[in-house]
Amino acid sequence: MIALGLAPAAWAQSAGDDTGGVTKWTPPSADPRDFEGVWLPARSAPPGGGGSGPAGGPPSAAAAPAPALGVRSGRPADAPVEIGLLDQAPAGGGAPPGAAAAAVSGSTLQCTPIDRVGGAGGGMSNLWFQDPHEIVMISEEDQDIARKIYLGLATHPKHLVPQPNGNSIGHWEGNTLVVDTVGFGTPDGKLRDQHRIERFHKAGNYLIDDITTISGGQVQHQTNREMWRSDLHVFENVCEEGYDRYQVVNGQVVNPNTAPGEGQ
Amino acid sequence: MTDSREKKAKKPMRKLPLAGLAVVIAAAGMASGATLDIDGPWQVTKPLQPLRPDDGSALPFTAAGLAAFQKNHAAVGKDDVDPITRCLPPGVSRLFEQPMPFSIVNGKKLVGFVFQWNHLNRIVYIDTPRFEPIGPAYLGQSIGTWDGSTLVIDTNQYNDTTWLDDTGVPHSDQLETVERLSLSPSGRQLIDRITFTDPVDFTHPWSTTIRFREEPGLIVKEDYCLGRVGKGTSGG
Amino acid sequence: MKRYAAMIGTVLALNGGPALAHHSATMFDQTKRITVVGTVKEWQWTNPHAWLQLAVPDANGKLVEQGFEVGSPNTMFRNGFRATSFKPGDTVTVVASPRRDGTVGGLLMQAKTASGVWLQWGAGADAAAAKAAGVPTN
Repeated sequence: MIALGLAPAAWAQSAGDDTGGVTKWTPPSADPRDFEGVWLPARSAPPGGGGSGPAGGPPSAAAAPAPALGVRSGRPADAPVEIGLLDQAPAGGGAPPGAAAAAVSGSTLQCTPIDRVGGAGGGMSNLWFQDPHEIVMISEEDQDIARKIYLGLATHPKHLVPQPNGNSIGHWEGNTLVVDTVGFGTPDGKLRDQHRIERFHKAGNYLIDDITTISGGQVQHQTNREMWRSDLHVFENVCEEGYDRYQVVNGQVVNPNTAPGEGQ
Repeated sequence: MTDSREKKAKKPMRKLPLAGLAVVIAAAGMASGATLDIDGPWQVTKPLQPLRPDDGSALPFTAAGLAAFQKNHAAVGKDDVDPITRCLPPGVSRLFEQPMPFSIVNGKKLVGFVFQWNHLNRIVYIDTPRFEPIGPAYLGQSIGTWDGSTLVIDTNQYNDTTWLDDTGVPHSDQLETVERLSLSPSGRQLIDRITFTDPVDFTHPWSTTIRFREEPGLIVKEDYCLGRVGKGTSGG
Repeated sequence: MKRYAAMIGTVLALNGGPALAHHSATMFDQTKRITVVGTVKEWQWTNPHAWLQLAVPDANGKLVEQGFEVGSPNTMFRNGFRATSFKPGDTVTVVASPRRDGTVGGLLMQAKTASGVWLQWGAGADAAAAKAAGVPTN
């Protein structure tokens, strides 16, 4: 569990901003091949324009009587207009490609990445950084799992071990980064029939990802956008802090450390 | 707080190690290590278990530090007590000493360590002022600067959950580490001299050196600790 | 090393899709809303999801523990939530998407703290901070 105390007095506090109001937004690099920095997956409207209405709301009137304890249907009269969560489904609807294959394995290993095409919501950021050998993208939503795109490899290495993010090799075509990924695996290591080609390019304040996924003979296209957010920082996201909440056997929550058969 | 040896040893590096790429010799004012090829992948050569100061002395525990060490040591490998059994991030030195590779991506304003062990990563912000983090972190908050071709990494804002090695060396949330990371003359070894300062658990700062060997051709794979240790699987 | 708190008296439905490793939004009915007023037992500021545990009287007045899932601290922090937003003993109002299986608890959409401040999360919840940082709106 992250132990959070008071911030040091030297740092300013600012509601809703992980940088304490210190880091201002500055435009992205003019270099079209420089992706380094924080990008926020843009599954919905940009800041200020989200969901169903204005964000937040003023505190309730101090004189309001204390509400009765219990459960009621509907929403209270003094609740602000809801912003709405980012949706979890792909923009084109339906399950992400490869999800069906993943389901075949039967088991569900927790704290593994979701399919980027289908996910990347919830207001969490991606951090990109690069050198001549590789370009790395850390997805805060995916427990800070790093996608690694190897440059300078003409073909995928032989004998790839299937892994959830597969194996990605990339090369530049002009100012477009073309990424080819194979070797997608289910969380328990079975190979998925999935091949993905992505074409990344910068456009204004956005990083655009045109995605083609071929899976089980079907071809699916999707475009993801990420908005440049140099005011944000990706922070650690250690899913293992709470994984045992999701241990369910026959509908009952089971603590993995005391379940029958689990070692001491 | 660094020991007196650190303060004396500030001389410019004249001989830069070559590691297969031409190294740009910087103009005045620009860090010469900023374009070093330190990608690796790297893996620890000989894990230091237990962690020991370079000068051969014993770990300088305070009374509180010794008590914490003894409590941890009695629980090494014990399920749900040793944090590594829950797949929580190991402490920075313990992580370096796991037998799995990592690569280092030397970017413009940050240097990223990409570990295989449970897909962890560590971001070192270069020449950036400290900013407010969401909270204390398992691997702290790292700010780095190039001193010639040595990367100096200053880390604080650690939480107190991790162990510094596999034997249970503890630390408090007051820990601050300063690392001096450099390549060997051949360019095939990475040397990390880590100085630990923690007034709660240690009476004075102490330093240890961890060495890594380059393993070209290795790919840093995706590792999911919960799967590897047989936990974290829902029924069905 | 803190031991993880066990859930008492609440059965969680299994997340339906294996590809959604931790976003288990499918087990909540997001077309509905319930309002729950209860007393804070625990505010678990942890990954992958923060949880707000409330003590809420059932129809017979017996106190039942109800768990409300929220997002991760990273998202929550940017949306104005803090580890100190809810303290044991606080009376809070939660607007939630209920569970599809009819058990207690839900997905926290909005919450009113003991001091009367409404918190919510989602796209645009950090609009004020983004504006202060100078983030453009297109």
